[in-house]
Amino acid sequence: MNNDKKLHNIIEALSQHSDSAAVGVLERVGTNCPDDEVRRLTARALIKRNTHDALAVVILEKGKGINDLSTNVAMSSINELLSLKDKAEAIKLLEEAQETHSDEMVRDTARSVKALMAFS
Amino acid sequence: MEIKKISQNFFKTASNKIESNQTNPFGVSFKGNIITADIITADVFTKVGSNLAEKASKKSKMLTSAIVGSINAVSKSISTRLDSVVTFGKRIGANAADLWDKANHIEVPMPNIESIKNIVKEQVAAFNSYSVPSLKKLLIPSIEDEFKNILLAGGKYE
Repeated sequence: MNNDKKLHNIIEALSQHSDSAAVGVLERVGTNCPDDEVRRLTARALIKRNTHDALAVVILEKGKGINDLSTNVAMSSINELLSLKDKAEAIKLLEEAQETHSDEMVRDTARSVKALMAFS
Repeated sequence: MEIKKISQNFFKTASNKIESNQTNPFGVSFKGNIITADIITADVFTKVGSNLAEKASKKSKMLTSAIVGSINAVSKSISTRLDSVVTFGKRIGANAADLWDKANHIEVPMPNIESIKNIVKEQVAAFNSYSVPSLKKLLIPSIEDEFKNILLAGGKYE
């Protein structure tokens, strides 16, 4: 098994792990990785967890998830959000980001994604 | 002047001036009063001696009673202290024995070696297979370390 496959499995395992500390590992190691593919997989794993803490990382933090500077990572994160069955927590956080976030770019992104989710 | 005369004058003292009418053969003076031989009689000696003996016996009685009293007090205080020391020692001994009994009855739970072996085996097997179901059963710190190691190996971790 090559390293890419191992990485994929580890990130997937963290997305399904019962321990909520997995969110911290994904945030610390995955979202700060210089490699776009690792950040993409990590953002997807965080959205899959669909918890407040995990979604807050990809929606509220600048340069991570939907706010990532890489279009590939940001678009992948938005697609993952749109494919969620239960969107309640994600919409709540997007509204929070739209209304109260200090960064204008984050507010704009949140507004756009929220509009997309309303149509999906 | 002759040397003999000089030495006689030089060593001439008051005691050397013995008057002819003195009967005290020793020539002893007490504060300037010459004690004559008439004063010192056998009667005087017996009188003075009895008084002295009486006073000495009285003083010795007082002294003895004082010493005995003080010895009694000291022995009482020593015995009291000894009693308290003995009681303290007994109490310490009882406590030590009690502690020893308690220590003997304490059971320290030892970790089950077999369960630890199984956990280690599971961890090794999970990393060997690298399947998602086995990886997600691992402890978070183990996964984090493996995550970092793989990123480091691929030059993707700073």
